[in-house]
Amino acid sequence: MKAAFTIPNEEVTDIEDKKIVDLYWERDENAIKETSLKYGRLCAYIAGNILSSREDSEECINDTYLAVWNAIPKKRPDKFSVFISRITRNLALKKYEYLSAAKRSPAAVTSLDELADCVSGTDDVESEIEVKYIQRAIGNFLWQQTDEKRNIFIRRYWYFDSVENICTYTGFSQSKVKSMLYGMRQRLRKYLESEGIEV
Amino acid sequence: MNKKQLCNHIGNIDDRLIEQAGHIPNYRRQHRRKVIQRLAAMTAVTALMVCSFSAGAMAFAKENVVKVLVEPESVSLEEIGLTMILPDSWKGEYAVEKNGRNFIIYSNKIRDGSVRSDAFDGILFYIVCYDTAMTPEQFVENGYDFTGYRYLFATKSNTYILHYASDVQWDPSDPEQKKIYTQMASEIENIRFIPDNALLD
Repeated sequence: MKAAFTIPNEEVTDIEDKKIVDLYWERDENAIKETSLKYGRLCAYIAGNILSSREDSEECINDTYLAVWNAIPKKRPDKFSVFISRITRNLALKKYEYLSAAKRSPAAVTSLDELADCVSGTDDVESEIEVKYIQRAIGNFLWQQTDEKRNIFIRRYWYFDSVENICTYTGFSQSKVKSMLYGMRQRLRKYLESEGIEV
Repeated sequence: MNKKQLCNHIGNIDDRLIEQAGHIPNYRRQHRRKVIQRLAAMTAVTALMVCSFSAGAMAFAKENVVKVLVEPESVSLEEIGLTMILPDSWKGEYAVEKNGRNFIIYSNKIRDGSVRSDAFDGILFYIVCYDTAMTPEQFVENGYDFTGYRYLFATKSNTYILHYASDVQWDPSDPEQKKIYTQMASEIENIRFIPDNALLD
């Protein structure tokens, strides 16, 4: 089991994040060094939850820094920690798809398979408007849940944390966490259907 | 939709959700602390009851007439500068849970009575404080009317909305829970909201 890891506290890091973003805007290569110092572990944690090999994770993290370098002069992210986490997650998932099935991380496979409970599995083409609508509906659904359930759901399906790690964070038993996740998946499916979304 | 599409949609949820989950606390420890606090509060209440009973007995002996002002059942949501005046019948029947700048008001009897931890939260409504000032029309235009809601008011920089719970919040097989929920839900319209800084805004 990997050591539990959480985003550094916002109050402590917010000003530093602005400085890091400024460095990117100034095209100062120290930006990557500072990012690596502060968020290297977080990126490695997220990539490691999705990809099984250390080399793949490291490659993914380097791709993340490059992607941030390319993205920031156009954008000024409000929450840098979330911005970089999201890029890491997306790149790791792309890499995960690319890798052969034999190499896949059992943890990520399980998380993804669990999500199959919420959907029919059909390969529908979604328009940009539909995508936004679905994303907003998922967000709304999550905001309506209790703090515990919401955070556990996000830790599992956004951060791809193992159930064991979630238990370490929350102090809950595995059966409780699994039961909460199961209930959330069922309810998410019902909610999406009630919002007229074809799951 | 397939699971990969769902996974991508989850990947693009609100930044605040992701950040909040990044600071996930140890809930079990929190629950334990709450239990200890409740026990301490119960002990204090018991002590107060004993004292007031003694005082009452003495006052009764002297046949004094004491006028008692009944305080309305109110909850102050300090973080968002809002006070709720609830029906008196709600006393001891509800609880408030904080989620960032949002609040969940639920029936504690339904939640405590649920056997399974993942079922039936007894949520009556949510108070959501949006970070922008919106008129009722702008609120709809911005697409926030995703559930039943009651527009409360807006200040210079915030909009306060009561969102009704959109899911079944009680155990349909339990008529007692249904009765409690239906009764409380019918009284939501009687709740009054008072902004704490009305004079400033």
